[in-house]
Amino acid sequence: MKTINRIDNIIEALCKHEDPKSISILEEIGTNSEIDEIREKTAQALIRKNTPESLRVVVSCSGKGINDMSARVAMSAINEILGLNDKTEVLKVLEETMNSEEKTEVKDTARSVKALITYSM
Amino acid sequence: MDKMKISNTTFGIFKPMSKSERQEAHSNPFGINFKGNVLAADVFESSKAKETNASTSTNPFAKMTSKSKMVASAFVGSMNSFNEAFRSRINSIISFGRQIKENIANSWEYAKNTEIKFDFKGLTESIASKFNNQYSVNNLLKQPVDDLGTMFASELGAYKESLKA
Repeated sequence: MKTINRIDNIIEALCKHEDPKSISILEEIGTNSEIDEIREKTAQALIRKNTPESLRVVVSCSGKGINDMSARVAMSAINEILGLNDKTEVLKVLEETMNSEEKTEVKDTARSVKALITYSM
Repeated sequence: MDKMKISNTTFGIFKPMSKSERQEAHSNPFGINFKGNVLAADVFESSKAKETNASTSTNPFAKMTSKSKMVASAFVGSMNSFNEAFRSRINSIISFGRQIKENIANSWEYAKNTEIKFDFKGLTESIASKFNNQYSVNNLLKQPVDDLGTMFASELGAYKESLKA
């Protein structure tokens, strides 16, 4: 098995794992990786978890998930959010981010994504 | 007095004949070669027969002219050759069928005498090796999260190295 396939499986296992520690592992190792591909896969896994903690990482944190400097990573994260069946949690997190004292860029991105979700529903 | 030589004679009996001439001199002077089929029927008829044919109205071939009889005779000759060709084809088809039958019989004998083996052990091992993959998602889910973190970090390091190389 190729290394990238092993990494895919590890990320998928951490995504399915019920232990809350899996989120911190994905955040520490995956979203801080210098490889775009790994950050992209990690962000998608955190969104698929669909928990408030995992969604906060990709929505509220600067430079991660929808706020990533790489357009590829940010767009694939937004696409994954739009593809969620249950968007209740993500809408809550987006609202929370918009009303928080985060950076203006982070707030603007959250507002844009929320507008996208509203129009796509 | 000069001696008589065979080559100088004008008698017909010593004259060499060509093939066509020989055919003309056939014992059956009415044997007409029609596309290779010698007409066995006598296409000529006597005046007496003509009179009898004219008198009898029951015979459907009574009013046939000599030419039409010749054509009919030729047709019969061609029918005979057709029969021969048909028989030869039928024989070839029969021989082909026999060959097929023999082949099927041989195949059946071969199949009966062939032992079919199915390697269940090898199949099980290959499936087990697939499912016993340490990095399959199902197996990874059974491991503690800390171990997964360690594996993630090490695999990521290896992936970085492979990208640099």
